[in-house]
Amino acid sequence: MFNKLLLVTSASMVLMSSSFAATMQRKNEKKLYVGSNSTEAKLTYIGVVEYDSTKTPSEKTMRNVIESQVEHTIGPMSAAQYTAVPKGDHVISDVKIQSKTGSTFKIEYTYTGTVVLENGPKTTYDIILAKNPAKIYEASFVGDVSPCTDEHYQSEGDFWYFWNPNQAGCKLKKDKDYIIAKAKVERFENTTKSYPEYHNLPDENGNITIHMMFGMDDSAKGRNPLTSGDINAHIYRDFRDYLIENGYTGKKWTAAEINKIAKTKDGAAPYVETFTKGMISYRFFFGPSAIDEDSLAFHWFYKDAIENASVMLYGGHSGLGGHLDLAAIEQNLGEEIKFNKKRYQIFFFDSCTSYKYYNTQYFERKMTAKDPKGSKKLDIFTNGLATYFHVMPESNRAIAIAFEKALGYAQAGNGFVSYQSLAKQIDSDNLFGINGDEDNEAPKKIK
Amino acid sequence: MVMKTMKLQRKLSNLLLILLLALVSANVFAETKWEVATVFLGARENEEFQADIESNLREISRIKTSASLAVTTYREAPGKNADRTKLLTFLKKSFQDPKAKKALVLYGHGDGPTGLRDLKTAEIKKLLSDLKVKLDIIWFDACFLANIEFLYELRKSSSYTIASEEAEFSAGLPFEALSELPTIADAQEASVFLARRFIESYSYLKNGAQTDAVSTSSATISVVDNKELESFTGMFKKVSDLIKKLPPKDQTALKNKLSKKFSMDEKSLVDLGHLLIELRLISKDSTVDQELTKLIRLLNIESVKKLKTNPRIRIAAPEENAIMVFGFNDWENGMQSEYLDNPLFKDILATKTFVQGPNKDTWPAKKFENKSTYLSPFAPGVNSFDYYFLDASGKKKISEPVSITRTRDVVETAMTKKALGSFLVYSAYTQEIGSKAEKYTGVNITLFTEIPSMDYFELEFNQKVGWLSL
Repeated sequence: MFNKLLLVTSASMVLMSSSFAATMQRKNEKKLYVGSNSTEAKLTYIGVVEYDSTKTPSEKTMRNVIESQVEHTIGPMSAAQYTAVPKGDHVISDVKIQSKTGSTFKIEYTYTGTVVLENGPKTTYDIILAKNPAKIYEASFVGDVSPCTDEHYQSEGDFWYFWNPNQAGCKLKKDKDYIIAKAKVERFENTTKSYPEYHNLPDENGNITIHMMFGMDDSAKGRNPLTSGDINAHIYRDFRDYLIENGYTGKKWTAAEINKIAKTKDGAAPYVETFTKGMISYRFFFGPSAIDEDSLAFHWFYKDAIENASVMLYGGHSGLGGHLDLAAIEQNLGEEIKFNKKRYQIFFFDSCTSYKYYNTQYFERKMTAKDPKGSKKLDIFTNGLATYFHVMPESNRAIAIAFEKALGYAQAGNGFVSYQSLAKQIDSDNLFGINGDEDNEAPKKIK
Repeated sequence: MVMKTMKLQRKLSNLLLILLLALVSANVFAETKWEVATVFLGARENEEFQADIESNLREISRIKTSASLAVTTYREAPGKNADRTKLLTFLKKSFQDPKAKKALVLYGHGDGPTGLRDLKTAEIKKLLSDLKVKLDIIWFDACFLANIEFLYELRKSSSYTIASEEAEFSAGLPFEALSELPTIADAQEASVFLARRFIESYSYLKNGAQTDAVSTSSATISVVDNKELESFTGMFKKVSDLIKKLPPKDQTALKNKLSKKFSMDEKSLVDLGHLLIELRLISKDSTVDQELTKLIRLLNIESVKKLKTNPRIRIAAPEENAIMVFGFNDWENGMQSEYLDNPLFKDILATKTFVQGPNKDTWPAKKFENKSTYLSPFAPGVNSFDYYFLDASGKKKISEPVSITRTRDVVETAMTKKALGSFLVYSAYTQEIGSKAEKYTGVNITLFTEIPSMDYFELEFNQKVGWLSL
């Protein structure tokens, strides 16, 4: 009976063979590998949000309430077993009032949007929705402290970004304070390439001006980037060295030159240098950039970059979107930032979760009758998830060097580097977003 | 006078004999001097990673150094920024004797063509170029660095490279193996010796010292003769051209098959041997077929059939609808509680049925709808497969218990014929669940549909072969 066994390779058959040391406890293998473990995915779910009002909410109100609930998905998603981050391209449809109990309306909607989702879930993903986003912050408090959010960022304005009902000590309850929606997941690979309009970068004089805005991590550190211990000063020096090694000539700005741009200041003068090689010119700015710091000089230079640069690259804190908020900067300056609607530009925002913060408000300023989306003359490259500041400068350096090389390729006619290749350089895989590239012209050699 | 002369002659011949003996014994016991530098990267990694480093450092501290063996160690200070100048100084100090053989071990997170997480490919290249010492062996104690693009970039840095095709366990290499280097004078022989010690340390059947690190995956190791990479890469350009000329439908099919069956833990990397084999399957041109066959053979693959290196067992049921009750390791493992807790058993043979069986325990059972089936029932730590049959009702035992034991869990491939471009001197892997590990032929390559980073684009391999375009 047992002769029917056929052993094909290197196994041998024995009747009740000798025993093995049987230690089969489950072990978690540890590998010398930290890889990209996420892909982009389309997420679709039906959400329900509560809204208290004595009046039936208008479509606009309902959409505002929905957007608030969608915004509150960020905190739990970034702390979930499988982390995810919305790309900010979501569409809300099928908005309707599901029911009304007393003065509480239940508004139903369908969410469809792209997220970056950690490997794991293939078909469904649990989304935590604040039942009533207007009430969730208050409900999260235990005494004077909310254990559901970051211990340092306790304000209501920061809550959507940091809250997580599964955090130790959090008393928020499922179905009472939040609900879980089962989202449908459709993973996809993004292999489509898009390219900067290299040929449209030069100004009327044929020059390409790249403004590197280095926002300080810690404004208490030295203001001279050549000697400062600030984390961003290292990247300043690294990239500066790279440019000099590659034939750029540097020049430090005088106080008078700085004052021409920074008409007013609320602190020490910033450090500014220019590096030039042929038609390409880099302007390096180093100073505080946080809206609540002595960042007036930064704001003047930022305004100048937006108005005149071919390419602007900001590396620094995002301040949950507050540091580069155009209205706040304009208020600080007392002047409007005049976007050049005729000029093609690229803005790189290398800061935490920047794709969420720095999109719409910038495109709106480029809108014209012929370009109702404002994307024809602007590409915005935003970067990744929230990340440690000490990691960010490395990506800042990598993207800056990669772009410098890309310009060289486009100038020499040796090929065009896609945005996706630039993003790969910062090892971000899908954790990046490019907006405004959908209507780009095919790249041509820079004349 | 004659007597004196004879005595003198005898004395002389005795002296010569002693001299000869001394010379012979000196040769027998002669040791080769080795200078070995070990570098542990990962200053910003977590505590667990640092603990692994410390464990490896303890292993190194147990190595007995001598006049024939110097082992130096460099570790990036946890939490600090990497200091390349210090690292270079360390390496210069480690490699001082021009007559000594030289080996460098680099430990850290690896990522294929990108290099190490804390020392990118270009940085490694610069570091080793600045060192100005041709090394005999570099061992990348990291993941995925038996990668053709990476190996080609660093081909001039050492004579031989040892690296893993797949993700490597953080336990790394068995450092005590270094202590035997003085007994080996030849760098290739030493490389193969070290690679063998590495793979054996993860073998359950050989009672490897590092099996604690293994539960489901393979350890892989390859030894590369760097001087042969130039020729191989020259011939490989043809492959890049061939793929570019494939109709989009074939390109997609090839990409899908490689991704699904022959990719590493890092999905953008696929096995080079299987890429060539799968491409040959698509090819309809006999000249192309021959060229691809030549390349395949350079990777020590004599025939595709021989890549089936893991046990397959045909099990026949005594009667229709019989129920096979099964367990593992002489009925020591795989009982219901363990089966449900450890997904490894389900991966070997999935079932939801459990019946009372040996050792007064309940065991998984599988109904045989067909008369026979093929199984690959082995996995790391699962070295015997045990079964017997019950009738369709599950009440009557209709066969005696059978135990099938595997005799090896390491698959080794050595170069059989030296030819221009045959860079793969030795490769090996430990078997994983079933026959999954049969995808490893020694070297990986980036999948041709990937979008390259700028750094990748500028790699010498890519410039020469035109593998990925911007």
